[in-house]
Amino acid sequence: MFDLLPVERLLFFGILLLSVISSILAHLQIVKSDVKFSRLLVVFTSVQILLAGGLLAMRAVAVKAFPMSGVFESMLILMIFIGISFLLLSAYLKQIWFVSVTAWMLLGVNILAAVVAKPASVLEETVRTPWVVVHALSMTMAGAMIVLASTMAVLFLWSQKRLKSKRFVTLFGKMPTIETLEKLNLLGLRLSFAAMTLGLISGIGLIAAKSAGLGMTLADWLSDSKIVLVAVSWMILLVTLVLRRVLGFGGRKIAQSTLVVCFLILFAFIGSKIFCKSDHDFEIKSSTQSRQVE
Amino acid sequence: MQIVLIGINHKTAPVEVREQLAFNTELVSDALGELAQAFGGCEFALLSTCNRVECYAVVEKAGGPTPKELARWLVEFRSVDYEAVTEHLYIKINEDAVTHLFTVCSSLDSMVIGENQITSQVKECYKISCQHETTGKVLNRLFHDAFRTTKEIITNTSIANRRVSVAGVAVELARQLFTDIKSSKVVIAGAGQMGELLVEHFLHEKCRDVTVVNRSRQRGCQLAEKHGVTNQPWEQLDKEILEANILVGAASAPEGYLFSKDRIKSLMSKRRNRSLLIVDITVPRSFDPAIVKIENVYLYSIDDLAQVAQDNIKLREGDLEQAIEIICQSVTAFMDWFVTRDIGPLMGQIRESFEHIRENEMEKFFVGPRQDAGCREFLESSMSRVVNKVCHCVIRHIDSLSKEHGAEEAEKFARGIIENAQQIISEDTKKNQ
Repeated sequence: MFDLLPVERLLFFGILLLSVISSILAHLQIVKSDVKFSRLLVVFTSVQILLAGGLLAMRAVAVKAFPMSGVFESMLILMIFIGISFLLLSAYLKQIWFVSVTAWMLLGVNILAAVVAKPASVLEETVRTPWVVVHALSMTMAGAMIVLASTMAVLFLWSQKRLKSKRFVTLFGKMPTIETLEKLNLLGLRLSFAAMTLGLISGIGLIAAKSAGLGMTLADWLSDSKIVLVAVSWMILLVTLVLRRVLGFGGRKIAQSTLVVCFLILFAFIGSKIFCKSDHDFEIKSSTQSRQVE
Repeated sequence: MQIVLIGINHKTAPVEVREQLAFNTELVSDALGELAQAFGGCEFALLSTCNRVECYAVVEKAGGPTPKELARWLVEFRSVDYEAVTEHLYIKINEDAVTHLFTVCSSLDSMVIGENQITSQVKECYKISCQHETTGKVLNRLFHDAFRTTKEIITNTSIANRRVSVAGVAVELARQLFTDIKSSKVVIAGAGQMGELLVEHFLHEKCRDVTVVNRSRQRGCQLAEKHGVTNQPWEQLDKEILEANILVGAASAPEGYLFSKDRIKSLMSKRRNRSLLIVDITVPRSFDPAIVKIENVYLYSIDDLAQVAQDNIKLREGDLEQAIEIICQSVTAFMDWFVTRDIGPLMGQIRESFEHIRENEMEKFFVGPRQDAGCREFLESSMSRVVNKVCHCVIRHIDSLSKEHGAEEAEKFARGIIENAQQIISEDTKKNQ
């Protein structure tokens, strides 16, 4: 976070601050069993989305291209997707727990963004094709959908646990119905699968078109940690959805699969950067560096 | 004037005594008519429910019927020996009577706190009294304040929010599981009393697809016809469960469980594991408790639901303090109005007397050479303003006196001022003559 330009740092600090305040309000909502902060949370989320959009725009101007090579940018786009989905859903789901858990989820994404924050970078000349635009956007969309599906999965598992153990009084009026949570979880999973499939196809298209220029063999691609994790996630999603269709796979198993995939995707986005070696980024230098060069 | 309450309720008398004194709608009408004839100039309202019989009256302190006379009249109207029930009766005056009505109307005095039936019954009682023209300024204000207080309590506390019956909790559970309970399919296995109660509750929630399945087809048909729901033979039960969202077990097996874990498991796989809420209201239970372990099956026995109902009652009671606080505020506001209500006409008299003095003084001034003075109009309006300001000071003083020392003290003070003013007026009249 401290590598960012002063203006970027200011904007991102604003996002983080709003996110922390939202999480505190979300906690207070649950403690007081009152939805009075919900409107404020919607306003704060909207401001966070605007600030993230502004930050992305600044980066686009800096690198004179759509900023898509860095994980930080991906996290910001992820946050925007989740935020917009939350704003759309909050018109229908007004229960305390849904609003609060989504606020915490956004804080989680913002903290992860802070961990991987770094100056804007530009893409290698070789990979600047329409494939990469489709690939980056669809993968980020898949990530956002899986995070939202996970929110629903967490709420579903918690609700189900309370209902099964007959400690359900606390749920009444504060939690969306089990049926709604299951449907939204499944919807998120399906959208994520569709976006991920598109991302994988565009990724393969990119490899087919530019593999030689990048100097990477098929073995290099297949052993890249990020690619392996995404492929495994895609396989899990596929198996889950097939089992759902064929055997009527129930809500609990769907929720558990969602959480596993969410973990894998987040690890692929961030963890692979920190813990594993990945040549997937194709960035050449930071914008500050490029400006220094100029 | 004083507000009097004479009553008997489930806390002071057993049902055998209450039923002797109970009034049906016709009897209430008769009693109100006769009360108005026997004690003219008083106000009356009569509330009679299965848990209480209460008569609210506004009577003159001096010259009006005493509370005991009223109590005797009411008891004897029902041809009951007064001495036999006197120990069960309670008599409350003024503030106590007002507090009692507010407590009753907001259901804080009911067997189940938060039930809304009593509010409707109090409204009905007031409506009948209005129809017989036995209410007046005080009772009208009292009952309207009681309804407003009840609304405030319901809005600001959660005493009426939580379900406190087994059937109510079952419906609440269904609402937590299914988004659109109206289009959920409800299957009631058994047509007993509890089964019927649940049919009523689900119909109240506007469920469109309710099916009764009973061993005795005739009894099932009767229940289905009575409530306008579907009826199916017992042999079709499994087929109905395949389509159901909510299954109510209201029929026991002769021995063991009617539904074993394996039977439900097999049904669940046929229904592709769609969520199923099972409410087992039979004793002994008709569903194997192990069924709860099956994915997407939510099983609750009558004990589970009763426990929640009990917890909800406790939670409602937790809000009691807040509700009582609201009642206290309303009672204080009502009593403030009630005690100053009699002083209102006296204040009018004070103003009238002062105006009279002003007119006399003006007449005395504008005589002889001053008769056609041009300043008359100006002087009159100036004097009027002085009288208004003096009146305002006096009225404010009387108002604070009634709040600090009671209505009687304020009345005494007001009457003193009127007497003195009248004396001045009569002296002026004598002088003029």
